[in-house]
Amino acid sequence: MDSKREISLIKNCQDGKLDSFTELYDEYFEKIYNFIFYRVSHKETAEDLTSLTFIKALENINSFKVDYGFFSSWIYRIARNNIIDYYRSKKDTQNIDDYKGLKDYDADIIETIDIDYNFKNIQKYIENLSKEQKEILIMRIWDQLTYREIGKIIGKSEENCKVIFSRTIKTIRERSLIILLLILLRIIK
Amino acid sequence: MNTKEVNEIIQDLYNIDPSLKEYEDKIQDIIFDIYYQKPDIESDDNFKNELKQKLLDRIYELKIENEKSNTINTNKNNNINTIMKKINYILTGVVAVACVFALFIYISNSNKSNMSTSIDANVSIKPTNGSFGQLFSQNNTENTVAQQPLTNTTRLMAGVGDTVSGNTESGKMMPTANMIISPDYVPTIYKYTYDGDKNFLSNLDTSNLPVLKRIKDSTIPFNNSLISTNTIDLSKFGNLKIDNISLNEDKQYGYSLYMSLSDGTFSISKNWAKWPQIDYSSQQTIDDVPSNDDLINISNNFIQNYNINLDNYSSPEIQTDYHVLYAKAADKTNFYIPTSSSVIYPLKIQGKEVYEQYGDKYGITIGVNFQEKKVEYVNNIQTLKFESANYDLDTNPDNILKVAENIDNYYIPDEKSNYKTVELKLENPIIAYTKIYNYDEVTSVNNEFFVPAVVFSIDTSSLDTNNYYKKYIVIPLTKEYVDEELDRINKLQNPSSSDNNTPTPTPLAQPREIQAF
Repeated sequence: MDSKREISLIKNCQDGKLDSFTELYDEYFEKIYNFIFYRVSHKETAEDLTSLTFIKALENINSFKVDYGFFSSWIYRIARNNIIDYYRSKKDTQNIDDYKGLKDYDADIIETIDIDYNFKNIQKYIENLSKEQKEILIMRIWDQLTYREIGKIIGKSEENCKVIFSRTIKTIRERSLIILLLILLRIIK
Repeated sequence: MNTKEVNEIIQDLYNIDPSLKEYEDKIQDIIFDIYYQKPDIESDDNFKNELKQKLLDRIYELKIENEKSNTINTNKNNNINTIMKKINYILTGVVAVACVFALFIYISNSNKSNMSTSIDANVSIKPTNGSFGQLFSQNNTENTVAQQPLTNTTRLMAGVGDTVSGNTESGKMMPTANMIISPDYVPTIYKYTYDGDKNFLSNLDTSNLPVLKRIKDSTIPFNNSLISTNTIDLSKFGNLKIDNISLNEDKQYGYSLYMSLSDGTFSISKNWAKWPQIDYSSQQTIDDVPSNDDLINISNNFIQNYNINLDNYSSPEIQTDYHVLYAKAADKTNFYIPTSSSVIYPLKIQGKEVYEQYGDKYGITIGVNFQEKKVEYVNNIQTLKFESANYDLDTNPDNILKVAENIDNYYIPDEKSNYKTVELKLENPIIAYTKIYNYDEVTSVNNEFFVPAVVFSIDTSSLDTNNYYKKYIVIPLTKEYVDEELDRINKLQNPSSSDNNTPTPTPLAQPREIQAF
């Protein structure tokens, strides 16, 4: 779907013609479902959170400002907030009354949430990364979001996201070298 | 697997930090390896369809709520032009040729009237031998809310019930919204009374009042010989059909045209890039709203200019009269004035007007922009081809009146709850059609049906609020609908007589809202 069509559908929704939302749903269903599934790795939970995301997006479509950014960033942000809430409720250390609806969560809150990218083969890359680094890495490579979209979703500048991503890759490369050295040392011994 | 995008990620990375290029092979390995670890996910089509139906139900509810609410602030602070300038309009010659070709064929096809039994110009109705199956089983949102246990999600959707945090059907913990309680709000239940002549159904010719299903598919074969391209051989694709067409007028105050051939609908909206940016800095006042006559004149001129066929549509009406609402508003300083207002040309099928089930007339709607005094959108132009099937209609006026009187009552009386009950008079019943949607999970098509209905006008002269927007009560006449409604009403009025296995509806709780940004 091109941006113009997307904006036209959003404007339709904001003018009360909410049926247009179903076209946005068709466009984003798979992306949002996958985005959530990568982070909760549980089918039913992913379905629950996907439902919640689209219902919230529909109910709050009037609050989306076209000049604020892309619709994609907006709906991913809603999905991300739902995932954070899910992990917070699992941790059971936060008061549920702290729920912020569609308000953004800042980095401090994200740092208290331990999102499981619960897929075995990815662990060697993401262990020891900060939660922020993990998040940007997965958003860029798995979700294939642009830096601009990522920035809008997590509340950082596009430039900042670029720098964090490049440093993350650098860290992974350096760490893999160290691991390789350790393996070699073990073999030599 | 889209390795092109992964390569873009890698190239991007070198642009950010050129020193990484030194380790090119290793960097590529890492990024490709991470990419290949991405789990393959196949989402469940049933879930996708179920959620879509939930959204459609919620859309229906929101439409009703919007009609009732005068507090919608549509966040018009959009700097659309800034965004739109960044959008590239790529309308290649290839697409243009295809569009013109498609448009020509579409219009030619639309004008063919090869079906029979029509009494209206441009409306064709084809009888079917069978029926369309159950019409309301998936459509009746209110029934679903009232008669099913309220899960967290349905509570959220229904806007009732306490804030909950617990197990979902899936057994996983589910976060829920802590919604804001409006302290001054007292729930209002609207009850309707009718004391007019009960013979309003006595002359009904049920044999000539079929249910209609709109035939949507007008896709047209795609002639790929019209297009030659070096990038891909389109002739290798089989049975290509053109599904939709989008065209933009590249001139000041130009329009965007969108034609969905698969849906048989056509809409026009302003081409945002070609219209001046709306000045949102100054709040509009009631003086900015043109008179109803002016709005209708602007709309009629547009219709005439673009030869929009109104053979099957009644005279135009203003959908929401802001002058009247403003006059009634207690707080005039905070009265919200939108940027446009719609004029509706109600659709008529076989001489009968068509209504939305929530109580508005249905037809072509034209939005007139207050600042520019121009039409900014046209919606609901559609092909008028139908299949027809006969359904059992309930012609017992007592049944119809019982449903009508309780149509907006979904809550079990509860001594603890604080209610306000408002009685409104119904009058002037007429026979009309109502448009309903029924989502077919098998084909993923949202079918449109037009069902015979009784429509009552509502006398709202006694109301001292602007928060009630309904103009009509619409009662579909099919026995299936009336029986379901009577059953629901009986359970509400006699909760103790309900089957013990039937979940009890939750009494009305204080309203809650989701806090937006």
